Amino acid sequence: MTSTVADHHHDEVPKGISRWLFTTNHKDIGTLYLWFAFIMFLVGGAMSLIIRTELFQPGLQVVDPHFFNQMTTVHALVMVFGAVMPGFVGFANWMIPMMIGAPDMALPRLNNWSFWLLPPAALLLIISLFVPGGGPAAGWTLYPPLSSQGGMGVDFTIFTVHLLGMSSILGSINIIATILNMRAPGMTLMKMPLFVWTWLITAFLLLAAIPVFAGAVTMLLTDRHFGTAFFDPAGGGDPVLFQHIFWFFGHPEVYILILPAFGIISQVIPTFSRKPLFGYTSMVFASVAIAFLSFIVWAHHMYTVGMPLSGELFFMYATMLIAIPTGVKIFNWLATMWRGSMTFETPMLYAIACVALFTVGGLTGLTMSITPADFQYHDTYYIVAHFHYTIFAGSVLGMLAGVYYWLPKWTGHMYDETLGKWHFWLTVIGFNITFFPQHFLGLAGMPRRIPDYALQFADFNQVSTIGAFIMGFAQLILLVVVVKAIRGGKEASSEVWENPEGLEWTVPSPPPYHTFATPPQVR
Amino acid sequence: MTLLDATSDGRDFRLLVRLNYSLTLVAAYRVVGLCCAVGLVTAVGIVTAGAWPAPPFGGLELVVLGSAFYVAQRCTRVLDWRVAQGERLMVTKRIEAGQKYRRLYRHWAQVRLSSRHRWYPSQLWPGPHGRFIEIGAELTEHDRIRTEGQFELPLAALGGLIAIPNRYKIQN
Ligand code: HEM
Ligand SMILES: [Cu+2]
Repeated sequence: MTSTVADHHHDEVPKGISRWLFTTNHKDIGTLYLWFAFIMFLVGGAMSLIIRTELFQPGLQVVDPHFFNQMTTVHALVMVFGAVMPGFVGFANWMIPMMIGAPDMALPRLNNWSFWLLPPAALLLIISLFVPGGGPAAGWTLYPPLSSQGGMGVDFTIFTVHLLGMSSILGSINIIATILNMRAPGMTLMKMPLFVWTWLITAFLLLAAIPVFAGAVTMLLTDRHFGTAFFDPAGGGDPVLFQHIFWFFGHPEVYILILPAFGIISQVIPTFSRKPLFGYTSMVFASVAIAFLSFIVWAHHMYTVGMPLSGELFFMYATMLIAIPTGVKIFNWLATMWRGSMTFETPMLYAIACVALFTVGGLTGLTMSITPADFQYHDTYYIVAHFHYTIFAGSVLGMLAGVYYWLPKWTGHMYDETLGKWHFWLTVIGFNITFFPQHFLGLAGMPRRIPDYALQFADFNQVSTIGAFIMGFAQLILLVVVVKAIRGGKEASSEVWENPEGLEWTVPSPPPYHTFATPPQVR
Repeated sequence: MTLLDATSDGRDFRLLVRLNYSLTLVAAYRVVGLCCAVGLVTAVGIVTAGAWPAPPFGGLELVVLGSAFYVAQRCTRVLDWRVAQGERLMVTKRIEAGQKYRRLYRHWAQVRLSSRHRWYPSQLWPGPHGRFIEIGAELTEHDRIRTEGQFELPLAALGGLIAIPNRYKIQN
């Protein structure tokens, strides 16, 4: 007789602060990441409200221009590296082991370190605002010469970037090792849920991109303090070199921000359309294609630096190519919904908004990829509108779809659907009021990263500021929803939704501290 | 994840512990090799552009990646199994290089799960007093706890005579 022996289930959950400090449990670490991301989201959001308050009227009213520049810089750094990236790593930690039927991440201790690198890094960045000379004020892109000349805050930022980079790299190595090594029997690569696929690809993008960024800021550091002249023309260097290496990291980075969101909505849409995902294989290949292309388009961020014509053409066509796999994905999501018996719970609303609004961002991206046109758009509010339609509407709304989708699984309780809908509508309406007018501002020529502007831009800026406050305060509803669901509420069944697909729905809600005692069998 | 496989006819017992590993050794080499190759090509480009401080970071990262895969791979080459036959309990620990085993009297054997400090992984030691052999070091914490539970079976198969002292549960 061969059998898998009966199992002693030791589901003791350690207590107290040391549970969180020393935890090697993927769910605990996922929770830590998610809370960290949420706090950073609020911190970065507060900064954006300072920016929008100053921009409510032309002229200088509220903050001093140098502080304004610090706000635009630190807002972006906090949001990109503190909120969106850790948020998705939190999802990866919680969901990937459950989705592939693994007991935990492959390297649980490393996982603990990856998380605990984040709080000191964030602290360093926040402290930088209070050191002599203030925080970094060169924009999140840290272009020299501004960043070479900035005060001590820039050094703090450089160390922050190193720590965050280390955390991301350790995190992605862990994710790669887990996905490749720890799948349950029968879980072949082409059976993995799309969220797992997009994270696998994202992790490789991180591996390729982050060291380049680490190198770039290290060169900045040596330029600032150790007498090198990588970016200083006076010493034979070239500031454009920084832009090349920054964007060699930076463009893959934007796909690092979006691919996990694509993965999440590829899980959500089929569930609420009650149909399997349309074109699974093409989704996988489209993600791989996007990842590959993202490494050969970086100079579309620097059309105006004076590249040779052949370079401009190459980067223009390569950038346009990205629209193809992206279009494939959007087509597949629409085809999944097509004739499905759809219902519109909060996660689905977020997923639909994500597809619709991300498409707006993709389309403006396409207009900017046209080199001669971009000479007009570059460094205007049009760019700001574009990347908020991609990052906020794409990454953040996608992430929110995931939060509502899996919150009952995480907490064991259904969230408050009414509050969820309020959160959704206020966020999405606020978002559009904030960012849609910025397209017009940009087309009319309003530059980005300025605290003061010409009178003719006043109306749209006021609208935008009002939208920002609506959107900002709506996020407090999310806090209420999450806390309520943690505290109690209607018990969630293990399936939560109607016939959702995936191993995570085969375990109870909330899942036991240690998920799979015996490997699940995947058909 | 571990595969625990037990064969039993009531008295005689065989328990096999092995990591379930979805990547073969060759495939693991390929993944790491491909990463190194891509890293090398990128490094050449970046150094040519004059940004030589970047590649060392990439190199460092590849070392960590390689180590992670090495650690994961090494686990698959270790196989623990124990056979209880009649009066005897045989604990065998097989590694590619060779094998270590210990023959124990079933009556005296006990299994200890110890953790010196919560920061360190626990250790699983079956054996009679003074002659323990460590097994399952490659498993995850949870799997080790589970293995301990199952280890009691071949011991208890004699009729539950065995008291198991010195067992302290670790707190994750
Ligand atoms: C359809 C795909 C996309 C295309 C064709 C595209 C194209 C572009 C181009 C040409 C620029 C440079 C504009 C300029 O500075 O003059 C740009 C900027 C930007 N894009 Fe996209 N983009 C796409 C998708 C995305 C996605 C998915 C994200 C993020 C999730 C993103 C985030 C950004 C950001 C953050 C910037 C501005 C960076 C800065 O200067 O601070 N884009 N995009
Ligand atoms: Cu780009």
